[in-house]
Amino acid sequence: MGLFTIPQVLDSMSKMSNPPIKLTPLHSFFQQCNVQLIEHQGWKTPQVYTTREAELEAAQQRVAIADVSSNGKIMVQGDRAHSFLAVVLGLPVVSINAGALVMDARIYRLRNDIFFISTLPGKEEIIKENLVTATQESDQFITITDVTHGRSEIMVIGPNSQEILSKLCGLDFHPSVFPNMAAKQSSFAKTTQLIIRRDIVGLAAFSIIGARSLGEYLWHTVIEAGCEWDIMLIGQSALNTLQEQSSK
Amino acid sequence: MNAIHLCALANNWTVQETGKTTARPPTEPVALGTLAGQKMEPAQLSPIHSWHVNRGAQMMLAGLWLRPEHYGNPRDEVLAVRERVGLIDVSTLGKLQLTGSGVPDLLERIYVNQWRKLRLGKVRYGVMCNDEGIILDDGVCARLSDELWYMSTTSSGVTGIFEWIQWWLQSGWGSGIHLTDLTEVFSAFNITGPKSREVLRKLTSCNLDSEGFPYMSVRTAEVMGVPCRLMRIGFTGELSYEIHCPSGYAMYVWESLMQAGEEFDILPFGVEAQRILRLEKAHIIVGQDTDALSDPFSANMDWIVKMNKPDFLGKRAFTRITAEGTKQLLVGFNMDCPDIVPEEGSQIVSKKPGKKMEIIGWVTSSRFSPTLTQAIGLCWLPKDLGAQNGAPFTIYLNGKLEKAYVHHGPFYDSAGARQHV
Repeated sequence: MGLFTIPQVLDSMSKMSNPPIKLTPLHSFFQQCNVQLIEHQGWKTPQVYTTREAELEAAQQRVAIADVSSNGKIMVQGDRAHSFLAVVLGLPVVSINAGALVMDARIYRLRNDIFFISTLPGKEEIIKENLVTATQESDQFITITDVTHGRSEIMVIGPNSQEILSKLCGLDFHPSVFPNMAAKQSSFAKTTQLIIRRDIVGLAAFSIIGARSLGEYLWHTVIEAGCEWDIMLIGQSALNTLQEQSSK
Repeated sequence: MNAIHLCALANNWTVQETGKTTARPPTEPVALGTLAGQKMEPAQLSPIHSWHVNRGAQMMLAGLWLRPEHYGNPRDEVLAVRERVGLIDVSTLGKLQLTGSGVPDLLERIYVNQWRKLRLGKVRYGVMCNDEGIILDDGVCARLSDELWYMSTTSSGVTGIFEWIQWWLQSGWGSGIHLTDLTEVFSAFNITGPKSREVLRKLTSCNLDSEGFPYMSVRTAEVMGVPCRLMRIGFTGELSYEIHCPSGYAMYVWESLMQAGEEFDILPFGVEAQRILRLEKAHIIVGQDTDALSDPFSANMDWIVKMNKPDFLGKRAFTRITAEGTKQLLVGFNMDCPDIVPEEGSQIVSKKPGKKMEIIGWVTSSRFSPTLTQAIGLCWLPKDLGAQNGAPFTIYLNGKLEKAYVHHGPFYDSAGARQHV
């Protein structure tokens, strides 16, 4: 009997009969903006800040910032985590600081024995359940932890996104050094963040993932750094359009 | 140049006689970005930060966290907890998850007390020390299943303790153990006071009775439909429940608790009231009442050190400390004049006839207790003096000498009856 360890509280979350809507770390900022909020996969997120077209244009021509904290986030830990994920999810060989797209999830290797799975909002439940079942059937010591609620995720999208990140972080974001699907943990604006490159329809895009409590600070810091490129806030509507274009 | 003119005028000298300052470049080159760039000061916000601000909380910095110091009147907040019910946001507490069959062995090594026999569903208070026997941190650890443990640390200590445990895991103690930081995955609220059970009962089907959910226990239950971890623990000495919920639901759970508590006149309370409440129980705060030289024996916590355990961090040092004896003792005190609250850090002095005044100790915590209507505190004293309950000593305060008395044990509800109801 293998060991499967997941907080019971998160395990039972899927069994909630009438769950309340979850709030991202930026919720109070959205309220101050008086932006229209919608429910998206159980989370309250902004629909549109200005117009969908203007937001799309900013992402395509300059740079835009979006709160994607509702994305699912799962940590997989164990000496044999790679072989476990290879068997269960079909993960190919990935080196440290690199990732692979497997089914609907992006899986990144942060350490020899630690993997980070990023999913679309709400999809983490299914993936987690698959992993749960697999760990119970295996004899490997693997710990799976859903950390969705504890991390903020801010996405910077657009041709100028590299420049903005370079103002706040010492890493080299050139595509030759930091290609699509790369994932690196670094100091970012005086905080510790996981930075993932996840291009959308040919547009450079970076996710900055870190402590939920620092989400609002990081959001304002990135916006200030992006002022010179007229950075624009984009909502779920524009994000959906970009993702639809990406999947075509 | 204007300053030179002003100086010349004031001295009735000429500008030439006054002279000028020598212009020097900065000793270190300063990047233009340093001068022109934005000032990035990270601040950590609780998931219900906006609620605190909207209710007029006076916010204070605690490490990087912004926390409510009080909501207007800390005295009323203390009395609400003692007489009715209060609610505090303790989301800043460190929360670590330990999984695997090797966890009990690890806990036995990193804490000074015993863990292997902790039963499922139980919580225990623990103290961690380094190799020199110095207190690093304290908190509780709950056993959620055979191989799943949930540890809390102080708010400021979590990063250091996470690294401390990682270091030992990677130094040979890590077999069969995984460590994950869940500090921000869960928000935590403490509902405390004689009416806390009645408030919480309105929101959960969990059996909250003393028999079904005794003191120092943990349960997994839904609160208003949100899956939570409930721990019956507290820092205030009253009937208390710590509610840990996924952070995305934090605002919903907090507002539900406040709404359910309305009929009992619930009050949110901040760090200041919490400090008074814990002081009334003589609970220490690591880092405030202890320093880089404090060991559990001198901090009057020898009861927690289990020297009969196999090797653990600090044991060798404790063997030496117990053989040599401690020089100082952390004890409670009350003032001869009950209205005088000595400032934290005040010196404790001894004045013998014909000799100079000598510093023999210092005050680490002090407050006026609205419950006891007197000033109380904690202080370090020479062991011989601190060991005598009721012994008088002198605090040097604003040029005056104020008399105080050693007080052993909690100032309030010394038998602990109120938290065991």
